[in-house]
Amino acid sequence: MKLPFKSMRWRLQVWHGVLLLLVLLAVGLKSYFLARENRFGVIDQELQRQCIVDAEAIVGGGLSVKQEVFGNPERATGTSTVSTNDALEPQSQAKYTAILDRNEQAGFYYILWHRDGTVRLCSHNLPGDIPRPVVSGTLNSRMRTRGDLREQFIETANGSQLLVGRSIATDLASLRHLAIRIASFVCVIMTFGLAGGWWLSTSAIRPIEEMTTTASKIAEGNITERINLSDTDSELGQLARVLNASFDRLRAALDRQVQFTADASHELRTPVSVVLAEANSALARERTPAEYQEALESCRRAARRMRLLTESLFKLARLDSGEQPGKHEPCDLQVVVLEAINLLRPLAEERSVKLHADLCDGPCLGDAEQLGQVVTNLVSNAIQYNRPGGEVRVRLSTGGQTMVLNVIDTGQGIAAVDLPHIFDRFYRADKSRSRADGHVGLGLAITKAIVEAHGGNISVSSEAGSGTTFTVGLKRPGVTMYPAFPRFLAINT
Amino acid sequence: MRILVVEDEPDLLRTTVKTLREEGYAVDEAKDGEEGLFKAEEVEYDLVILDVMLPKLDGWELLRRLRQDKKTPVLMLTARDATRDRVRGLDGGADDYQTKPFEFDELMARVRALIRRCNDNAVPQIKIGDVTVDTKARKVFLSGELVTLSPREYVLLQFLALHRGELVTRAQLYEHLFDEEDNTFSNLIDVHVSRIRKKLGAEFITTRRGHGYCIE
Repeated sequence: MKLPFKSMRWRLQVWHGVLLLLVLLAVGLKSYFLARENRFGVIDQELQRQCIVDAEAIVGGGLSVKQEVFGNPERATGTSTVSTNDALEPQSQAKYTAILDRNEQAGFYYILWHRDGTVRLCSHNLPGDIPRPVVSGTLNSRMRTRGDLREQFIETANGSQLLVGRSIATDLASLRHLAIRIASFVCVIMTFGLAGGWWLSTSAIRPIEEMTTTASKIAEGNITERINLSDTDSELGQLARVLNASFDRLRAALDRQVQFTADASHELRTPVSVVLAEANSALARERTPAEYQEALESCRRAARRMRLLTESLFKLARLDSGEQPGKHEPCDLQVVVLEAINLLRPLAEERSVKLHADLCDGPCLGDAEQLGQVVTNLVSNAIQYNRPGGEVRVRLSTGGQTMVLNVIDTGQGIAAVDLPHIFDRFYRADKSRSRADGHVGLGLAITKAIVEAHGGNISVSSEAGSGTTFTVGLKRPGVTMYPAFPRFLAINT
Repeated sequence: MRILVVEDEPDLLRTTVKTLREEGYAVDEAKDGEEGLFKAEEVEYDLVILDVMLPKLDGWELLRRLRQDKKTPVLMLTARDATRDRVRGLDGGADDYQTKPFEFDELMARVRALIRRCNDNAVPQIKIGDVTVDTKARKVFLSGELVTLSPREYVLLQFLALHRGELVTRAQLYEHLFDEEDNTFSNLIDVHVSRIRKKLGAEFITTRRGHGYCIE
């Protein structure tokens, strides 16, 4: 917006100005030329009339040039005047001379050439030398303009020429005056037009400028700014709505990111506090070996917790960055599930939970290790949140183009309030047993991220008191896998 | 001085309690919000150290409910150090705020300062005649000479000194000087008082028979 001619307002203004100027010029020129044509038409009519009157006066006056000019009287113009004027009365001759004189006084001049080029007759007010028109051999009258003189001439059958003319200096002056008036009118209209155009383009650009201001404030970090939606129906209003919606989503994503960072930092601070407190306490004074051992064990527990947490965060970060799952290899979900179940059998026995597997062939494309983690996370959750003597059922089945994995437990179930959040990072449904059992609150978030990176989906249903079912759907080979998408904007969704 | 520590991380709870006891405080512990609120309402603590993220009842809610009828000083202990959280804690009735991870030296200094402030003592030294009680160094001087007291004797003296001019009942002394793990005999306080009198002079602590003790 800094370079004036790059700006939209300026370009609008320039185009608007050019168009307005063209229209005004066309109208102005047209009206000038119409006026001019009109004026010349009047002059020409006058001249024509004068020409005829003068010719009649010359012929009617029985002037000596009559024979020379018109030759055979019968061929002249056929007017009665011409045919009956052989013996004109002297006063009648004087009358015609008076007509010529009067015309001369009215500003008209005339000149008559014999066909041999000699001037036979002319008025006294001839403006200098008048070049004789070229003999054309036709009898039509013709017009010409020389400087500010307008002349009409007629040619007779025998080649004589009569020219009548007058000065049109005053007419030209008034035309010039008209031109000036038209030009000043154009200028005035142009000024108003440009001012109106500026106002129009300003009011058209203003919402855009507001948007720019808001957007730059947001870019500077003031994410709470929103575009004012006073004019919601115009195209710009719609754009503003779309932008505001984008800003809202961006803000929600940022808030989630901030929350996630705060949660992660909080989760790390607790074990660090433990290590610091234990070390401080152990070093404060001489301790017994048993006390030292207790302090060190406590530090080790804290360190293991930090390791688990940092590994989980790293895993999530990698999945968030949109990297494809490590491998896209054919693997068998049945094998993956069986391996996970065998690993977890000791845990199940410890908790007196029965593990049932109901499997089928599960050809699949993906990273067997990551898919194994999905199964391990779900099954170990199902064991740990089960009741003693409860059971966990793992079922693998084929449903159309997907492989469906169900993990069903007979535990306490998940409260309806918590259900929508259980895949959120650091969300713990059962806060009272959070820290003691070595969970950091990222297991299900990682599970979901892995499944989605494999183009699959995961869902949960639960009935309080009777158990929870997790369902994972994965594409079978041969079906296009969705590419993993950057999940920056989808954190904690 | 009796302190309640409410913290759900078992290792941190154990170490904090241990360190406070080594400093001579009587310390009770609570592992979740409900237990913490119950104890804080039952006992007249001199200070509650309260973690924010607690199972069952979080620190904010505990503080809000406690403040409905108790003025016990509360030191919030939390891993969140956003200004917003600190402001929320202080506005919610907390008296001080300590972020995790922390150094024990700092925590102990805050504990001492809070207890002092809540007993209207701005400076760490309390002077009573020839006797000076240095609550920072936890030492007692008689005419400039250091007097050796056992930790129990010291806290008894400090409690009486902080409540100088007031009658302190035996029940109060039991409540503030012994935690729930102590199995005290009824005459233990008399024993401590008589030892302090031997060291600082018989007139230093007066006995109101049937009521309690007082430092004039």
